[in-house]
Amino acid sequence: MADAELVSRAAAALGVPEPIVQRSAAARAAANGVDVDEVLEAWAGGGAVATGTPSGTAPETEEPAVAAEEETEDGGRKTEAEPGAPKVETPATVAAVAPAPAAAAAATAVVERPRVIPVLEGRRESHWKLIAGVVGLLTLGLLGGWILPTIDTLDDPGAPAALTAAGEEGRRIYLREGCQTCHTQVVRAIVTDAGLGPVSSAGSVGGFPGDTIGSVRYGPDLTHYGSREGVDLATVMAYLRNPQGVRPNSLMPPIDYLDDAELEALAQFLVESK
Amino acid sequence: MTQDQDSAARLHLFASVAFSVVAGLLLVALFLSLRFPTVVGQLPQLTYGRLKPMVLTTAVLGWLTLAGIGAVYYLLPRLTGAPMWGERIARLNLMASVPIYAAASLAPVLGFSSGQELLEVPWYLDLLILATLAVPLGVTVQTLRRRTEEGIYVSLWYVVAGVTAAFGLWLVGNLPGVIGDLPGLGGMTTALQRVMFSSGFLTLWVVGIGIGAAYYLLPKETGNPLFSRGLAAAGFWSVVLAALWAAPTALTHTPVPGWAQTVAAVMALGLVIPALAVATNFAGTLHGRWDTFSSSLPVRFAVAATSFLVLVTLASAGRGFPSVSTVVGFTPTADAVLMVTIFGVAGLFSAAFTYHAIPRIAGRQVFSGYSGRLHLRMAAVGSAALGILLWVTGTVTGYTWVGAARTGAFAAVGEGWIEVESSTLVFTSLLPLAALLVAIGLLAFGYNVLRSYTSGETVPQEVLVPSEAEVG
Repeated sequence: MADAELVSRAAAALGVPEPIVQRSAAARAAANGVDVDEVLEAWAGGGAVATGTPSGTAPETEEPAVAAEEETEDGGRKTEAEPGAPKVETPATVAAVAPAPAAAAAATAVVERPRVIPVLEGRRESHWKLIAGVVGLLTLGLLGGWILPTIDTLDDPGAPAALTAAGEEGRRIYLREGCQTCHTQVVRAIVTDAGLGPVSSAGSVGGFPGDTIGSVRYGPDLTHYGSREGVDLATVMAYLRNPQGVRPNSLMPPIDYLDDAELEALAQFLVESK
Repeated sequence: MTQDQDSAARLHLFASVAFSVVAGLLLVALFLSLRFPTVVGQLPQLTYGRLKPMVLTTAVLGWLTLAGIGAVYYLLPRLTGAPMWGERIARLNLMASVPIYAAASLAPVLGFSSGQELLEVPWYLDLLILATLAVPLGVTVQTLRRRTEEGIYVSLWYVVAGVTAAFGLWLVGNLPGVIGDLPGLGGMTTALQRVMFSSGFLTLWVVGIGIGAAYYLLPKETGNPLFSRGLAAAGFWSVVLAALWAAPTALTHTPVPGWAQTVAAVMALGLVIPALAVATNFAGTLHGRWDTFSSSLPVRFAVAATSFLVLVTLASAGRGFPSVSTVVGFTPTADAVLMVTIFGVAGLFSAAFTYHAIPRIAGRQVFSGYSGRLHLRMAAVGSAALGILLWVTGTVTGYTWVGAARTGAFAAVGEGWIEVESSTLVFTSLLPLAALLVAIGLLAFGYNVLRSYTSGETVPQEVLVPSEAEVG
């Protein structure tokens, strides 16, 4: 049984609650085969334990620590928590010098007394239950955030507009060029989208592969672009090559780096978006 | 053994900082390209449409995912009481991850894109990225199996949820893109898949791991124990429950079923709970030690990140309300939330943890307090400015649409769209400046971390395993 006064002195010296110091000292003493009071004396007075805490290094309460590591029979390494002292720092996590690769040459073998830090206390629980809880809730979230709404929309009578081969190629270029980062292809049933054409239905937008629906409009919605007045292949191609030539204040980047075939395909997709 | 300890965490954090500098510079190019398309957009690689996925992929994968994995590797041995399993595998995985993530960032600007917004990575890169995300999941599970510490601290919850969500969402979210067209699926399917994936990945992994790291570093930096484990539990399980259900708020008023929109709006509101729980817990943990706000760089970063977290969660929840969405839906307010989430919340959490970890894993003190403070000021002010400017741009845009539609003045197409653009030109003109502030902050970050590693004052490195003498 540890001496109460010694415990108090050690606790005061370390700034750690007495019960923790008592438990730690018992564990340290058992591990090193020394008397508890010897350990406490060392901690209280800054002295060294015979075969334990390195000289000048005080035990530090910190997060749950890595404890003694030893070779197993198969050559691997196993670790064991210091019995009875899960919350108290052993030499394992005490700050000592271990030079980083870049600092190896400059580092000197100085052991500094670490700041006393309170326990990052965990509660006893199973990590398997934690993993199961996380996986379960995420699965539920996938069901509610993706699968169920998707199934619901499958009953929608709308169908994606049939595209020609050139239109399909244009759609691929549309996605490749990131047009969907500035333009949407969905008309919502709200006042904001008045004047943009017929409201989109679940089956008539998006499509696969890729997603032309978009999420932000830095440019106008293009759902029914092909239905607008004066839109034909030639005018669209001219606009894509030089938007500022048509609308001087437009923030649309010129798509003049595409070759004629790709530009025509892109324009074809837009013309077919009705 | 001590030479190996933390090597994977150290390498991941340093690699992530390099990506953060690139992401900051690309952010400036992005908004220059948006505002001055005829000047910057002359090169096809620099058009806004190609640059945006590059910026997001560089930031989300290269910077924040690598930083998140580094944090996982740092926290595991310290919280489980066991040496990290697979240190060598983790290092090898980083050597593979860096070129893969760099290729994923470059793919959209080089014309290889799946068209799936947020992370427009071609399917073959998706598979490789999935493999890189499997490693931290495996390391986490294996290390947990070997844990000697019976108690599980709050940060480990976020580690488990983060690595599970990152791998799981990447798998499920990209599955259709990998296996091709699924018969019978179409229409809104792709859109729902996109928002579910991007929202979940950002919330549970990119931001979640930052919160987990902050739960660790605040008690360490302040010397105070965690304020409330119960509050932390409420916040954690709320976010795991609500993150994916809330995703369809991005599609309010679209043909997504009405019930799903309602549930999403409620769940988005529910996401305010974990944000407030985190903020309250952090404030409680800091109670009596607010002096560390001035003395500790990691604490400052964590507090700034938490403030952004609360603001961005409120803004995000607000966008989910149908009445609000009528005005701001599909406007740049979506980018306001996205950019602040990445550069404000996750970026600052990541920096907080990096500054906390450097002395402990590199054996070097942080080189310059001035550079650290400059980083914080620039990144915080820049992120706030980006968020405000994009939010105002979006709100003005939305009201212009509504006003034009109600009065019949014009439709938001053709010449009508130019009217919309002109109403927000002053705000979009300032976006490159806000991005520049963020970039300067990240340059200071990169400089500081590099100099810390090469010239920082030598300090004792935290040792996780005993020396032979200590073992006896």
